[in-house]
Amino acid sequence: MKIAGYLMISILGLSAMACNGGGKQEQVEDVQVADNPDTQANEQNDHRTQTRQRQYFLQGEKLYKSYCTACHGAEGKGLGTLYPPLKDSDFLDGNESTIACGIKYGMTGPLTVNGKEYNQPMVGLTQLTNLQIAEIMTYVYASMGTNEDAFVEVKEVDEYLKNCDSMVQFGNE
Amino acid sequence: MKNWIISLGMIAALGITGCQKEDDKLPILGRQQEVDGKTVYHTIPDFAFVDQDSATVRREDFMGKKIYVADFFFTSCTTICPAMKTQMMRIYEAYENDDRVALLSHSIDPEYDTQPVLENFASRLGVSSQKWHFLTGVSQEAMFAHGQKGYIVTATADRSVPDGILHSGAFLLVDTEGRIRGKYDGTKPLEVDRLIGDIKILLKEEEGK
Repeated sequence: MKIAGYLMISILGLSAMACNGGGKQEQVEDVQVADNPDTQANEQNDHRTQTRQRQYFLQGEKLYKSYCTACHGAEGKGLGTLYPPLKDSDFLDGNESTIACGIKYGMTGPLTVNGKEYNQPMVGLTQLTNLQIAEIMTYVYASMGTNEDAFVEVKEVDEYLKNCDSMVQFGNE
Repeated sequence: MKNWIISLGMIAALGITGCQKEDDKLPILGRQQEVDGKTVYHTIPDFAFVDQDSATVRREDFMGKKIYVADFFFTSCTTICPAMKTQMMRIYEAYENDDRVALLSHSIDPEYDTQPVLENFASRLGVSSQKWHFLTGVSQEAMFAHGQKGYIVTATADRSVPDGILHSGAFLLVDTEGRIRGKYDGTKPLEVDRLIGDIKILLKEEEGK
């Protein structure tokens, strides 16, 4: 039953992705005639990256709503000192790898965020694909972190997940 | 599975509310009986639990005094409980300064959720034990039975579901006579909006008594 639910979410997600890819293409800005062909190529590259980041972000927003809001809240504010905030959290920067592993395999043990200690286990979402984790992370880092252009690509998540295959344990090490 | 149960519960609740709307009065849920020409409504049976302060919380504490919102949860639950607690927090904030309203969260994993565990949980939520009681102190079977018989909600051990306990995400609104006056899906913000409004309606009715 549960699997069917996730399957449905994935199918919905896929169809939504198809829509984003097809219909909602962003307008290409007028490219200034550049004397230097390298500059032009770079600009095109930047633009392509931006569009991809946007796709990750939108997809990540949907996934966030399905999987993360119950504890972390729609705006990422968390709940008391039970569930830590993601918004403006000092744990985001520099812990990308831990967070990717945590989303996939769960986390347990005491964890300090913005000076407050939290200690509620987080369940892993092993059913998520690396791409979905990258999308969620892109959404969280870009909408709640310090850099609104943050972009966590799937190949980065592939790397992060190579270094973990079980629950992230904080504290007693 | 869980959605299925919640929907079933909601359909049942709708079926009951559907035929009883008059003015702004809330329906009275549960089985009714005619005794000597008088209608006797279902009421919450007697109870005595221990809360996060080690205080004993009894039915008498509310009868004739306070209305309350009840739910069933456990602290280590990772499925629907976090959403329920987020929503219950909204009710807490809406009626924080109104002593006529209390909240009762029953742990259906009392073996793990001992008083210190609940105390820690409540303090992490940052809520007052005078308003929001987290209840434990009986066997799991007793708590399941209290949920099923008293509040007419699902709560049972089931190894086939995550966390091993199958339980409803319902919030129940109980009046000062121990009668159930509303049932809401505690994981859905819109349902909880309705509950927050219904509390107001019920308080008005209680004032008139």
